[in-house]
Amino acid sequence: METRRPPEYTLELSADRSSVKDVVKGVLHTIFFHRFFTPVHPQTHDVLDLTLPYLSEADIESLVETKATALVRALDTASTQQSPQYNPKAGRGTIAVQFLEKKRRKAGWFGVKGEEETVWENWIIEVTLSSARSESEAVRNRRTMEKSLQKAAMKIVTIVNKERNHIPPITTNETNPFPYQIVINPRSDGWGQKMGIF
Amino acid sequence: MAGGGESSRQVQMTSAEGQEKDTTRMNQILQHFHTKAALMICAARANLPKSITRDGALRQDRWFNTVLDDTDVLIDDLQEWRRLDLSTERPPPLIVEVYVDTANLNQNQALVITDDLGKRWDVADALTGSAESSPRPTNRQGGKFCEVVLERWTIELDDVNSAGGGDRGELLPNVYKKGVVLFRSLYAFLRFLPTWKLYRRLGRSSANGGGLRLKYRLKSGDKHSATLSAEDSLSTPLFPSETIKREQHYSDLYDSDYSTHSRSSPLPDGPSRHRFDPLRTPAGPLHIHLAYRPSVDFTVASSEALLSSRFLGLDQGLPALQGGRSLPPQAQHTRQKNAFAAAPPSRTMPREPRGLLGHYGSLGIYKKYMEDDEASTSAPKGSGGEGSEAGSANNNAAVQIGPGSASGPRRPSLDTRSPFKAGSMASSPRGASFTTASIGISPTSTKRDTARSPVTLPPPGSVPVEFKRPSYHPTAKRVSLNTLPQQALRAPPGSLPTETAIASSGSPSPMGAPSVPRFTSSFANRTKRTSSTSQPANAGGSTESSARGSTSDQAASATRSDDDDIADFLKLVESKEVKGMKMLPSGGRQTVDLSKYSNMRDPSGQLADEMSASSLLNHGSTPPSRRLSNVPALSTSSSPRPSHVPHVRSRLSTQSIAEEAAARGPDDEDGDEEPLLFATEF
Repeated sequence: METRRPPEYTLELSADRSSVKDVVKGVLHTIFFHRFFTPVHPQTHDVLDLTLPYLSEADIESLVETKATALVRALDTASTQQSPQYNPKAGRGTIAVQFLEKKRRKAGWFGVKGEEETVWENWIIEVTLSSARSESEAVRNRRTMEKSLQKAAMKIVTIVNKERNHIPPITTNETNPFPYQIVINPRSDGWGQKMGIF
Repeated sequence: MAGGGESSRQVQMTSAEGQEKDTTRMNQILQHFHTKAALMICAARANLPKSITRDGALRQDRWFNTVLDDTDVLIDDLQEWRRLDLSTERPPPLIVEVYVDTANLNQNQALVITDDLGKRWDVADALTGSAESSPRPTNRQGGKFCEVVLERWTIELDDVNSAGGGDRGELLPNVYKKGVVLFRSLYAFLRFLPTWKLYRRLGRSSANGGGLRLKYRLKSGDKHSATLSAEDSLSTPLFPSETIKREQHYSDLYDSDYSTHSRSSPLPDGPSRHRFDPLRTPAGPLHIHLAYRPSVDFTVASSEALLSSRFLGLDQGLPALQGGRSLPPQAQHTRQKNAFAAAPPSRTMPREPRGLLGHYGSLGIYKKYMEDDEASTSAPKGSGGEGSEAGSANNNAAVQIGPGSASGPRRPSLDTRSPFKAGSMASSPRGASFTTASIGISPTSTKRDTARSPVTLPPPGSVPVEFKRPSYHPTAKRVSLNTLPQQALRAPPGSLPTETAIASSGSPSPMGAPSVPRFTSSFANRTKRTSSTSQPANAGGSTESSARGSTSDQAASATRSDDDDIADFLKLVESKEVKGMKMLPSGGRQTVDLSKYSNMRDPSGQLADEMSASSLLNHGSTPPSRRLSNVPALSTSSSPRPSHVPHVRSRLSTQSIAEEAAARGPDDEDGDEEPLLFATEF
């Protein structure tokens, strides 16, 4: 079995409490837009005055909405909690998107042929909540937010073009060939579970 | 490896058949790569008419699993690539140029570009300054003709042996798969570019009257044309700090980690560039290159106003600038008014729709626009002569703010203009305080700057360049700005919220940068105006207008210290009256004094409606891309043809059907073209 570590791409976002959900949703949709291989009629959605692509696939929409909400909740909790078991950096959270492929196992370890899912790509989105103590700081934060979003979006475009060789072959037409999952605040040791190692 | 069914089917085919199929598929991929790229680019820059199949269904291009509405208007231009066949000859590069020109401007209008400092520059002058042609070209109406290329896209199949070239071993399904990713990213990238925002701004200005439109043209280029230097109009600087803007734009867009991979070069001379990583095929790599202008803040100005402004600018001893002439940055209206400043203050001048004022949170922003109104109507309040912003010298927003009760009702609402705030800030209290704060901040920065010479330009570096970019607008109003019809065009968009943009500058005095210049000169040229400060109702507006009241006669003589003025202003601005003031619709007060401005009018009511609509838009209730179909037809093709016989695409369909039948269900005739090569992957 291959134990190659799948590539990991990191995006950094800064957002204030009122915009963080939209910003995260926008970035998630932009990522999915480049990884949904069935025919798509592109939509767009404006976030902070930037036009981002938007996938109007019901599954994606609801998953993104759910996870973005969960992240915001986690961020809120982190910023109010001082307990070490939570993310010690108040106002910071990570949301990770993973794309998997189904591989048919020729000879199962249990003697059973089955499908195994392995991750072939990880997107790590690090979100920092900004808060402003004054209006001028809010202005600055807004500016930073917009810039970080634009850079993250542009980085996605750059990465997906630069790195095209690791996309697994596509074997099906009917549905999206690559399963995906979104994880909030994954712990570093959690990655091992997703590497195809049991 | 995948299903045995697929491989066995392939094995059954003879090698000759297989090769022929591959050749056909290769040609198809090349054909559709070119045509789809052209379609995607033009669709994001113009309102392309839809195309209907014989059965009445909407014709769509579904290649590379990205479904776009198709159109007939590109067919003729794309002939060379639609019938692409490697066995006959290799295709030339396909070039798509997006440009603006002054063909539709009348004699009294000129194309201007606004730089990050809010200064406006005459484009035709800048271009002809660098060209050798002595007789200036004119358009049909006798006005100056010029054209500026904003983007040049090059879609090109390169040699298979070129560097980073083809991959003879690459399977076509893999090529197709990677093509999907490339086209998705092209779609996204098209909407990150500055020209996209220009497109939306122009597209929504229903009152534009066809004055300024984005246009495109397709042409074929020489081999390696992407590496040739861009034509002058794409790379000619239109204002002095443009090269700085280019670098700034580059660093804004690209993360440092990946900047080397983006293969974009912020060359000091020459346009900004972007290159997509090539799609490697057995026939060679397919490239998409882009050369573009990061500054595309074009608007239409009245020639008379420009002329007068220039004259006044010279009086102020503006530094000589290369190329085009600069205009004092201002809301256009201001200029127009100032042009006729000699008249007594009570003279009616074309005004900004009052409604506009209510939609921006910051007083400072509105100052500029209120100026005109205030200036002309102010008269009594002791503001002395309004008149020209001459004093404003360089970058001041000649904020002529008429003192007096006239300005009272025009206090911008700081709390209730939800269309702008709602879009970007979920919590309204925040938005409200935000806008209030911006008012407070502006004068502070003014103060700092007025300490310097009244006509000092803040050093370019100190002004965040992004300022001018609509995307960097602090509040939702920026988004709505795109929907402003004439308003956005008349007043240099940059000078609208973006400029005074609170958010734009990350510096301690956020409103400072853009608004600094405006305040600077107005205060510098101000004469004593105590009466204005005694009118809390007029608040900052009146103070401003009084400050601005400086007529041409007052020139640079400041009879009061700037700091005093600013302190007064601050007091007023932060007074409760100001914050509690609401803007009243002022539609009735608009008067069209000069018929030549009539087509630049925009009733405030309409403005308000559009702003409300824009707030919905901002919420994404209707994806903007979908709404474009409702925009009155923009120029859609460089070679308009009224009626096309729908191009029969069966030539491709017949070839594809056999291949795809197994994998795909019934589809329309065009859908059959779609290879969906995934089905035949191993």
